[in-house]
Amino acid sequence: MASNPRPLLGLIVNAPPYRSRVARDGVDFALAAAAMEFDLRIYFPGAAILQLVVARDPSAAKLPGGYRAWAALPDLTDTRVFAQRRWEKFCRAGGLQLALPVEALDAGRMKQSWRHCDHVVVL
Amino acid sequence: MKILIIVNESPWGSSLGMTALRLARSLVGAQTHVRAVFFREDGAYQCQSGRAVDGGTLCLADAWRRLADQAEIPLLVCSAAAQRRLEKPPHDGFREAGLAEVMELMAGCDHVVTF
Repeated sequence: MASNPRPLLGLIVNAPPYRSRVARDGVDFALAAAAMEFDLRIYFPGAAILQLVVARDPSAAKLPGGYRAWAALPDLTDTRVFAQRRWEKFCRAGGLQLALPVEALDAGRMKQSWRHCDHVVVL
Repeated sequence: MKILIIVNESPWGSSLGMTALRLARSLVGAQTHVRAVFFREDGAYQCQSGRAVDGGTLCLADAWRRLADQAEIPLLVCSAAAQRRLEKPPHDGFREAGLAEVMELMAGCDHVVTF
C-alpha cells in the first residue's frame, strides 16, 4: 500500500448498461469503497460509459434503474471518471448527458493511469 | 505479501474460476498470504457443487474447500450476490460477507487480483 493516507482504488467497469439484470453490483462496490475512505478512479472502457447516461427510463422494460447512483460518488469521496476518447466523443456528439463529469483518455493512457492506483478491481 | 483474490465468474460460464484456484494454490507455500477469496456477481455460484461433474474436470466448490482447509483461507461470498442467486446461504467452508469487510481486507493487502 502506498503512503497516501487515503488509498486510491481504480475500478474498471466493463459492462455496458443492461448486460446484467443487476445494475447495482458495480455501483454498490464503488459506494462501499467510498464509505471506507478509498479515493476512486473509475474507468469505463468502451460502451460501459453508457451506464452514466441520465435520460432514460428502463422501468417499462423491467430493466434495472440503479445506474443513477453513480452520481452520488463525488459527495462521498474524491472521484474521477474516465472514458475512452472515442466513446466520450460519441456521447458529446449525441447530446447524451452523463451523470458525472468524464475525462477522455486513449486506451493506452487509460492503462497507464491504472498504475497510479494502489489497487485496481475489475467489476 | 498479502493478496486478496476476487472471482466474478461462475464455475460453468468461464474458466476464470479454475485459473483463480490455480493461482491461489500456487501462492500457498510461497511467501505469500492469500488473505481471502471473495466471490461476487456470478462468482457466488463457485460455492455450489451442482449435481453432476463433467469427466476430467474438478468440482470447483470442493476444490476451493480443500484449499481453504489446507491453507486457512476464508472463502467469502458477496452477501448481495448470494441472496439474489442462491436458495440457501453459503456453507461448508464458504460464508457470506459484506462489502465493508472486503474493503477492510483490501486496504490491508498488497495486491488484489480479479478474475
